[in-house]
Parts: sequence; C-alpha cells; structure tokens
Amino acid sequence: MTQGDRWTSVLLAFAGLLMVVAVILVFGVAPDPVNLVTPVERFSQRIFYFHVPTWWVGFLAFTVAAGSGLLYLITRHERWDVISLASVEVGVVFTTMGLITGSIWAKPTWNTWWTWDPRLTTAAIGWLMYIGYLMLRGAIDNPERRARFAAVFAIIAFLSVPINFMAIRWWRTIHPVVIGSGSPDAQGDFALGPTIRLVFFFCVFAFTILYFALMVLRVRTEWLARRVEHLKQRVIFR
Amino acid sequence: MGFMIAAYAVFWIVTFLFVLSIFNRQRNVRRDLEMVEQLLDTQEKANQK
Repeated sequence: MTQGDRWTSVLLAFAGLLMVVAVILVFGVAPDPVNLVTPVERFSQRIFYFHVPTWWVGFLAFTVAAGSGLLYLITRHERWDVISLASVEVGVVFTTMGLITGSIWAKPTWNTWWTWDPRLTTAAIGWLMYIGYLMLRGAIDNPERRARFAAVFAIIAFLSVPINFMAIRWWRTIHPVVIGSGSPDAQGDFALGPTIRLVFFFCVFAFTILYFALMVLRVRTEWLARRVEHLKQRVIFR
Repeated sequence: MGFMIAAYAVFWIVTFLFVLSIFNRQRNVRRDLEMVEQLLDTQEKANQK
C-alpha cells in the first residue's frame, strides 16, 4: 500500500464517520417541523436532510467538471480531463440519488411519484445531459478527441445547473425553496428553525467531504488506468 | 416511515455500490499494470540479448 492509498483510505474513513454522525443528528437531534401534522409527513420530511445535499454535491461536481473542461481546453493537460470525468461520474451518482429520494419524498407529500413541475423537469433534463456526457465519452476512441469533445460538452451541460437551481425561484412551482425566498407564486416556501438549520448544514458539510473522498479515489483509479494504457502502447509499438 | 427508510436505504446502497465499483476497477487496473510491467521487462531482456 502506497502513502497515497493510505491517505485515500483515511479520507474515505473520515467521510464515512461524518456520514454516520449526520445520520445520528438527523434521527437523534433534529426536531419534527411544527407545520407538519401527520406522522407520514413528519417521517418523510427527514428525507430532506439527505436529499438536498445530494443535489448540492451534484451541482458542485458539475461545476468542477465544467471548470476542469475549460482548463483542459486552455492547457490540453490530461489531468483536467481526468478530473472532469471523475467529477461527472460522482455527480451523476449523486443526482441519481437526488432524483430517487426526491421521488420517494414526493409520494407521501404530493401524492405522486413524479410531476412535470419546473424544478423536476429541469433536474431530469440536466441529469440526462450528463448521462449523454458519459455516452459521448464511450463513443469516441481517439483519447485526445474524446477529451476535447467531453470538455466542450461539460461546459455546455453546465448551463443546466444554474437553470435547475433557479427554477424554483423564477417559475411557479410546488417544490420547496430551502435557501433564499422563492417566487411569490411558489407554494412550497418555508423557513428553517435553528436546530434543523444546524443539522442540515452539517449534512451538507459531510456530503462535501464525501464528494472529495470519492473524487480522490476515482481520480487515482483513472490515472492508474491511463498509465496502463500508455504502457500497453509501449508494449505494442516496441 | 417506510418512505423515509426507503430513501435512506437508496442513499447507502447506491453509495456503497459506487465505492465498491471503484475499488473493483482499481483492483483490475492494478492487475493489468503488473501484467504489462512484466511484459515490458521480458521485452527489455529479449532486446538486451
């Protein structure tokens, strides 16, 4: 085991510990919201502590991917392509969880698994764009061309992030607005109490550390895979 | 309560599977690396002869 492997394991263990603390805070410390009456509503409200941070990580990951894509186009250094790919992969995993947990929350709250609300629609479009990014990478054999196309795609797909974030603030929607006030027409606006706010932001912090731990792990694996590819070329063309 | 359990289960299962898939990929890549390095060594020795 190299020193890098050891640090990756330490970071992963730290992220895991933070996630366990987050679960303890969600179920042991966070109070029931005063405006929710039925037990089903109160239980399903606790999904919010993990649902919102999954989207936060998704947005963060796609921002990093777009930034790395831009840096790749400027410098043409493979490092930025590796970071962009790793970040999109982590982002897709987290936004997939965000879509599923949101749908599970919607069933008892809105009495439907899915509705074509502006937030849900923009979220689905954004998610599909990043699935498209991964498919595009799989469809191009030339590594330099693949990296260039993927970088451009990551920058264009990033447009979905601010649109998705602002959808509940710009348009009439039933999706709750957690941070900042929503549109005057919005029906789901609510304020967070101090304890709920504390638990919520701890969850956001824990998820952010988990994102960095997964990124380190994924980037290291990708570097190793590319090193193997370079060595294979040496064996073939010697 | 079932909805809440389902949502948290989805999170933990998907995260666990993702981490497991990365470790699997890493293990396979390390195995490939060893094999390619051995091949390169063999080629170098053959060239020296």
